[in-house]
Amino acid sequence: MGQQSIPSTRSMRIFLATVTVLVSVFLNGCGSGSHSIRVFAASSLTGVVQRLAEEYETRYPNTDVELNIAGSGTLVMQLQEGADADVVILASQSHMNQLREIGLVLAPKQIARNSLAVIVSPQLTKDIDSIDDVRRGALQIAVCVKSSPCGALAWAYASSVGLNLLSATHEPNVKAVLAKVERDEVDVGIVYMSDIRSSRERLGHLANAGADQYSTSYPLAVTADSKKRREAEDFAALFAEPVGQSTLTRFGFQLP
Amino acid sequence: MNDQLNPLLEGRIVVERGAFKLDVEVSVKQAEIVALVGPNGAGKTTLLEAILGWLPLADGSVLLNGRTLEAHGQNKIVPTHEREIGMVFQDGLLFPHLDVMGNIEFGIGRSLTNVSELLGLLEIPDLVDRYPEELSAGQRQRVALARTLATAPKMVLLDEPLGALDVTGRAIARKLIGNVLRANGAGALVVTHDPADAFALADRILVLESGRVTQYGPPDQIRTRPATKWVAELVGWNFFEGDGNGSLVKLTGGVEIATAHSGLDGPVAVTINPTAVALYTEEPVGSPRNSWHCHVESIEFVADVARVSLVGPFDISADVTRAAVADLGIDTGSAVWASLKATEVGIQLLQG
Amino acid sequence: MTPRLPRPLRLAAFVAVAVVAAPLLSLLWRIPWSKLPRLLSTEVVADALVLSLVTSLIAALLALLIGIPIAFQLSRMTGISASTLRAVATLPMVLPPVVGGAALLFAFGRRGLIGETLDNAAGLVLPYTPAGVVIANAFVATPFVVLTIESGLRALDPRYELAAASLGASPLRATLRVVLPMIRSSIVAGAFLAWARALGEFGATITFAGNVPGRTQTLPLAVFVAMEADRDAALAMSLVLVFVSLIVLVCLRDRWWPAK
Repeated sequence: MGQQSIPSTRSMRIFLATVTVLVSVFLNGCGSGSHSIRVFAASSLTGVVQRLAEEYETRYPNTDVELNIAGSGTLVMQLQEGADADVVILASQSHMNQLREIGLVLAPKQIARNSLAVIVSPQLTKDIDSIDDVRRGALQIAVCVKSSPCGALAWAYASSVGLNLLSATHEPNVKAVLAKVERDEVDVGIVYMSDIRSSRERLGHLANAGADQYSTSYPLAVTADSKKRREAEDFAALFAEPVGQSTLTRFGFQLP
Repeated sequence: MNDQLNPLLEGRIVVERGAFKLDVEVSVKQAEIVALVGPNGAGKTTLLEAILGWLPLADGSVLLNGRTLEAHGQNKIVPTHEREIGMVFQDGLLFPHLDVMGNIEFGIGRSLTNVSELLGLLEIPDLVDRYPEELSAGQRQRVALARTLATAPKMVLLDEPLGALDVTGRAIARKLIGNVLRANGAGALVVTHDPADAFALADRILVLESGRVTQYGPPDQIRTRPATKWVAELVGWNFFEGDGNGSLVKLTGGVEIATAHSGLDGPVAVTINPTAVALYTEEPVGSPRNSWHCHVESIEFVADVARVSLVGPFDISADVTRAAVADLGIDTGSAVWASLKATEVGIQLLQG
Repeated sequence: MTPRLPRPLRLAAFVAVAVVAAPLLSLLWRIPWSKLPRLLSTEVVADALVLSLVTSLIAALLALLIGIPIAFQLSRMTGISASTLRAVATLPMVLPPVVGGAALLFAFGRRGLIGETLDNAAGLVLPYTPAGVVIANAFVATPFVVLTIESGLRALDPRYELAAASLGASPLRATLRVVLPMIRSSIVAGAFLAWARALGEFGATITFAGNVPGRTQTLPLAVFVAMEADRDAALAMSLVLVFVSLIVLVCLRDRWWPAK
């Protein structure tokens, strides 16, 4: 060719090669790397899975644990849309059943229980000490979205005590509810007992509100198409061991 | 107070814009039309905007009918919209979202003049429902003038009012604007780069060069005694600078011109009307003491007049008849003798 | 005759269009068309739709009220002060919406800088109310108004204001009777862009105004919640959002940025 006003063929080739390499590295990054397992866990289990992931990586230094923590509903949706995971831990049996029905997971086992708790913002602990106070006062309440285990339980509890949730804000996950109560952005929240333990604020807790009658169980399952079944089962086994049990109780969960 | 004695507008206007400095003393009498001419960048528009109050004065003052609009050192400055000075812009600058009537009525509220009379005078009554984009350049200009005059300003500023028009349109518009302004009675300051406009409209002409006034007087004075090279070029005259000695002037090129003056001493400007320059094919004998051998650089014909540009000891232009060109048989490159009588040489003393 | 694009560019353009169109087409493909009428007539959807339309329109108006003065001020400024003001005014557009929501909480939340005073003095609480939604939406929409109107003002020949002044119009009258009518197309473009942005706002809304069905659960929030609970309903509401967005775009036509 005569005059070349576009980049020369050689530099064009180098550019394309670089792009190809970068793209394939990027694409390979998705999905489990060759030395890591992916754990999907419900947000209420945040502290527990982080601690046990550390424990796992100490015991098995060749394998990393990639955590994906979100509301149970979100995790189910991600898996239904084809996300890759090796271990799944959800906050309700019914959510796990959605995955079982389409054969995404192997037989689950219960690893913990958690009961509901009504918490009160640090600013109002003096004024509110019973569920009647909550019912009477025009208070701002926060609960999880109904499609999450915590939210479903909260609605069941609320209807049983005649509490109106129509003006409650529905947060995407239980940690978001906790955060709003801690910052006094809402007056009252319905969370799990484990969340009270994990909070550093001086939250009020209505122990006599009867919320503890409502509880959920945490099923853990290995995914059906996991390529690291042995590593996944090693991780799952930690929950039954003393390290797992003590971690669970330390974070406020009940053992199954 | 006699309006005829006291000027309508007077002031000394000093404006600084970056490296450019405008320093002008101006006065316009009641009902007088002053033309403001000058090369590009001389500061004509700046002067208008300063008078309007759109640009702050660095020094000096502006008075209208004896009332101080703005003075350096004085806190109270009369804002543009209270000065009762109107402005007509080069392209009309009509408000595009209003029709002609809407534009003309925009300023009324301060005083009610007979709008229909104005419309008639400017020959635009049938345009009232049209929008500016539908009008020709000439029509826009007339509407703009009507819009400004409708507010009965004490003084009107016009920035190149005929700039957007073609030659025929200009001649018509020039006459119309002149009539309307005189009928109106307010004073007017008209910026134009076309000498024909200036000479046709103005009672006095103010020449602005590089921010300073270089000449200010009636058209005849400008025409016959141009004070600078630019003015001379404007009126088509020859203009040279040189040193006077007795009755001779030695130009910067070395050429000596004999004049009818005596006692010349120091820097002088020489102006020569092209019509006073005679052309010969042979060296002339007789009274002319000023003759030079030149070559024809170019010949331009305008109607019956031929403007012959000559190069030689100095560059001079001569105006002869078309017939004379034919008789002389000259063309580009021809050798001629140019001569002129000493009495035809105009002299102006220059300050050292 | 306009010359054809060189081959590599045409190919790249085709791929780019496909990449952008793919999600939209996939959405349309997944929609349960037969169930649509039933899905769209539920209370959740009706509440969310009405709330979205009302709050986004009010937010657009609020954005105009706030944005126009800022745009006017900006159009008179140059240099560093202009760049600074412009950066501040367009920050909500560049900021991740959730961060914007958090910032709004710190200012107008119950314990916020201004919010706490409002609560103590007048019992006025903005989060969890439709007013909070309007505030969150106006916050992210205002930069669009500022940018389009400032652009329109700068494109305007400054001599028009001089003309108005020379005719005796005070600065206020000149602004109302000359400047504003002449930047009409910028104002309209800014308003539509603001409305479109407010309609689609999610992060700032959920963070600041919360997710209260019927009160602050706008259509985008309802879609988010429904994605987990009722996928079909989520798709149906997504379709509504796409449809409304298309209407806004059609109204805008080519008035994205003032041409003059």
